[in-house]
Amino acid sequence: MEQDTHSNRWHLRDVILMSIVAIFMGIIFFVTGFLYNGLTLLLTPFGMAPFANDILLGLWTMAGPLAAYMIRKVGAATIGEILAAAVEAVIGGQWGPSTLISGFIQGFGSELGFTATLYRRYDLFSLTLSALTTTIVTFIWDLVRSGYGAYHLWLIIALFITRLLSTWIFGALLVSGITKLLDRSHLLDHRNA
Amino acid sequence: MNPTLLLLLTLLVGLEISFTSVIWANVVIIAIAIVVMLRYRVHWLTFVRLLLIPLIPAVGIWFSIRYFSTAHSVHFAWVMSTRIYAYAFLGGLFNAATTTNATLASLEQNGHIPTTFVYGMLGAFNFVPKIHSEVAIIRASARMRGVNLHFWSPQLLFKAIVAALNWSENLAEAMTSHGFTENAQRTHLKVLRISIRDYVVAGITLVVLQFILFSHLP
Amino acid sequence: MSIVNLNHVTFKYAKDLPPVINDQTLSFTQGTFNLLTGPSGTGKSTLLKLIAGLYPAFTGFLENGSIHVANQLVAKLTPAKRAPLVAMMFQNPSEQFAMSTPREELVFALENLQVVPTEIPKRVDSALAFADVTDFADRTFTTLSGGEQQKVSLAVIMALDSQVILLDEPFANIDPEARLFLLNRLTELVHDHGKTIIVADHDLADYQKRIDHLFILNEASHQVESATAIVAKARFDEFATQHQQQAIALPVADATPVFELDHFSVGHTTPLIQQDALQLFQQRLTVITGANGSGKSTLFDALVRLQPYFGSAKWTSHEIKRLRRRTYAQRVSLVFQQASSQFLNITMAEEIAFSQQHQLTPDWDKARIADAVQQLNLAGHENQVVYSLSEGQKKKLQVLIMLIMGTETLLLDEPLTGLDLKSVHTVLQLLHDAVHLQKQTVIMITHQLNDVAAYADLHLHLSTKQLAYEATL
Ligand SMILES: Nc1ncnc2c1ncn2[C@@H]1O[C@H](COP(=O)(O)OP(=O)(O)OP(=O)(O)O)[C@@H](O)[C@H]1O
Ligand SMILES: Nc1ncnc2c1ncn2[C@@H]1O[C@H](COP(=O)(O)OP(=O)(O)OP(=O)(O)O)[C@@H](O)[C@H]1O
Ligand SMILES: [Mg+2]
Ligand SMILES: [Mg+2]
Repeated sequence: MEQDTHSNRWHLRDVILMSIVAIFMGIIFFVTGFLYNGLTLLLTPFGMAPFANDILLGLWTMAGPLAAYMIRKVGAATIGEILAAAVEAVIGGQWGPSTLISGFIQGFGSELGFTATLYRRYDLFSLTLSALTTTIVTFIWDLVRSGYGAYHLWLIIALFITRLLSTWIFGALLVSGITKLLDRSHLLDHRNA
Repeated sequence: MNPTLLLLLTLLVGLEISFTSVIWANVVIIAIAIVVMLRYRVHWLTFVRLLLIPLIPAVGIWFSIRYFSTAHSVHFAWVMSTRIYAYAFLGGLFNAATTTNATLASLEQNGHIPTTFVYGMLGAFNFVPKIHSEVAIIRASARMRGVNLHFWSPQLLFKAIVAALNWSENLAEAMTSHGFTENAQRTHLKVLRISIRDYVVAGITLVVLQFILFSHLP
Repeated sequence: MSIVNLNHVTFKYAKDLPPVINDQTLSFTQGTFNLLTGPSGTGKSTLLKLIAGLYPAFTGFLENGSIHVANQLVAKLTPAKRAPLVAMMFQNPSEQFAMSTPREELVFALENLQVVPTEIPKRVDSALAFADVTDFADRTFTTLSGGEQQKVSLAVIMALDSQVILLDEPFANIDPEARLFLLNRLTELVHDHGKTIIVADHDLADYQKRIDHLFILNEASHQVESATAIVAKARFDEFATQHQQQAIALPVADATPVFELDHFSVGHTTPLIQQDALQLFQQRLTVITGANGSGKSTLFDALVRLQPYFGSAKWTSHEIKRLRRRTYAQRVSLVFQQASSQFLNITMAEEIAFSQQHQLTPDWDKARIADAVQQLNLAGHENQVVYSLSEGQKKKLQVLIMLIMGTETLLLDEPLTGLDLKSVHTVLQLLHDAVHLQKQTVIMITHQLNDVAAYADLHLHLSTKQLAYEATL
């Protein structure tokens, strides 16, 4: 794919595309909201409630790598995840504007993985890198916001590993699976030409 | 209040309580949100939802902090639980005070967000009713071809993305055909402004918040 | 004076594909009504989108040539500058609006053109009145029928005040009454407002006395030719004779029912159909007609459990809402009004293979499929992405993949829209064979009635919330 004629501006159709994808994911993963509550309930007696968040985090952060892969522009992951958060704030409404903050943090996290490859590689390698940076950045954020910093070190490490696995499975493996199908379909060719 | 200013205000408040640990700040935020929501005559079911949905995570985190943190701090457990409720009620307040369309319109005119983003999102949001039925249709059409798609099948997500690609193309073509030019100047039938009153209210809110946060309240 | 000029235009969808429009030189005169026809998949939509300046901006490559509208290079104009010159009404009514109500859409369009705010309400109101859509100007688009949406689209074009109006099969999903309304309005635009109209259509009925020129897209040369008077007359004659009603049988007493409705009602906010008793019959090709928005698609949705209903609806004596979705879908299936809803794979070959793999009867083997692909004029598109097929090609593929499944009862929601006359016959023949050779039951909704009577067994008409058999079609 030629990268030279590439501009970094988001076009109307890119914005619509990522918003619709976000809405779709919002609806499909609406179910995971219940899953999250169920898991939390299950884990609360053991004081392990934060694990629910970390097990499912990969699902909420999928929009970033997906956008990066589909739009292939500097800032695509960040903007894609913010769009997804905005959509979630609107359709889910639950956490309101604070979703935007998480969206920005998560998107910025995913973005770093692609920045590290200078936006040249779009494959499992860069997706894995992105999963790693997403985990690190969001985890630092949760140390503050969700009070993770107060936990015992072993718990912090366990949470970190859980989150890394989750973002890798959903944000790298699943996204890579979907994008492989997309590549084969040649549906993205003219957009990225 | 002007939606852009309200959005900035709620974001700032949300950010500040993320970095501080004052139970009272959270409680005051929740109380103010309730008052505002009552003024907007929000349906009582919304309150029930706002009370119930954060309940599980709030209780979960309370137990984790109380028994599994290094300090076993009761104070910090309450900070975290009320913080979750404060986020939820800030969201409730925001949703009660504005609509998506008003927010986007204000973000375009007052927030100077590029029109491509504003109208791209607006176009997508107006598509939501169709998307809802489309998920049902995709599953039905798969069943008729002898395949059962579950909510977690990658195939369903893939088909959804392919459909989104197709729609975004068509919708963008249609908007272009109706004269929409990316990030170009547009006129506005309804001109939105941020009033002095809005600035004053926002200012007072922030000052009061600082006072609560930094006056050694629990 | 010519207002649209194409100068040696060659357009390809991909560098390695043959051109769809080849070395085309063509012009359209200001203030004329032009009709463009040609077999499905020859490039009518492509040509219109080129003139509208949407291509190659969105897709494809302009290998050669230039396109001018009102002496301006369309590719060089911004959309806001282009819209007052040329606007397009799309084939699919539901995907051409960005806002949620007609009034918002009109305001959006005028704001794009930077019309001064005080001017906007006036222009909105007069455009709404012209297209006769004032009554539902503030309803959301999702609650409007296809015909109503096309009228709104006309209102937008009126508000934009475009010089050249392009219409891509604007009547594909429209009932005859709304079609005539729109046609009269369009004729008025040409005669009283000096607009230039180019419309692509397969159904040439009612055009003859309205248009100034007929253009035909030649499949072999990939070029548009202006039809001579003799050729034009021959074309129009094909349609003139076919609009008369023909006699059709009424159900016989001892026929076996497939669906039985009893105190049945279905609707969205208010009931659309209220039916005390009705039977639909096995091994028949039943045609359902009715105005836009009367509830035909809603009825089908209820019959396949995509929509709740009240009262009783039975399929071969089983209450439909009690049947298991999964098994029921293997017995009764639906060809959706929107072709792309049916597709689950990427290429045409994959879609066909997928159906073959899951088919319920062995009636369709490789040879028969290859034969049908040939007859439907789909050969050569096997590896094309299904979404990029032309509208007519999508429709034909959609019908084919559902026929291959061999489901006992097949419901089809407007399978003939956007098809050329030859394809209409092929599809009807395939459906006729499904009923009389494979013993399937076929129930089909259609607005287009040309030649249908020759293949159909029964005709149900929906009006005033009731379905009733009729003796003519
Ligand atoms: N994106 C694309 N990639 C490759 N081929 C395409 C693409 N879009 C259209 N085509 C092909 O170009 C040809 C012309 O398509 P077009 O939609 O213009 O036909 P049409 O004359 O409007 O047909 P219909 O009457 O069925 O609407 C078709 O054979 C179609 O399969
Ligand atoms: N989801 C919905 N919510 C509310 N109203 C709807 C919805 N879907 C359809 N309608 C309305 O119900 C009526 C019947 O729609 P339906 O699609 O069944 O009509 P139809 O007879 O198939 O028309 P057409 O010939 O245009 O396809 C229309 O007035 C339509 O606007
Ligand atoms: Mg076409
Ligand atoms: Mg219908």
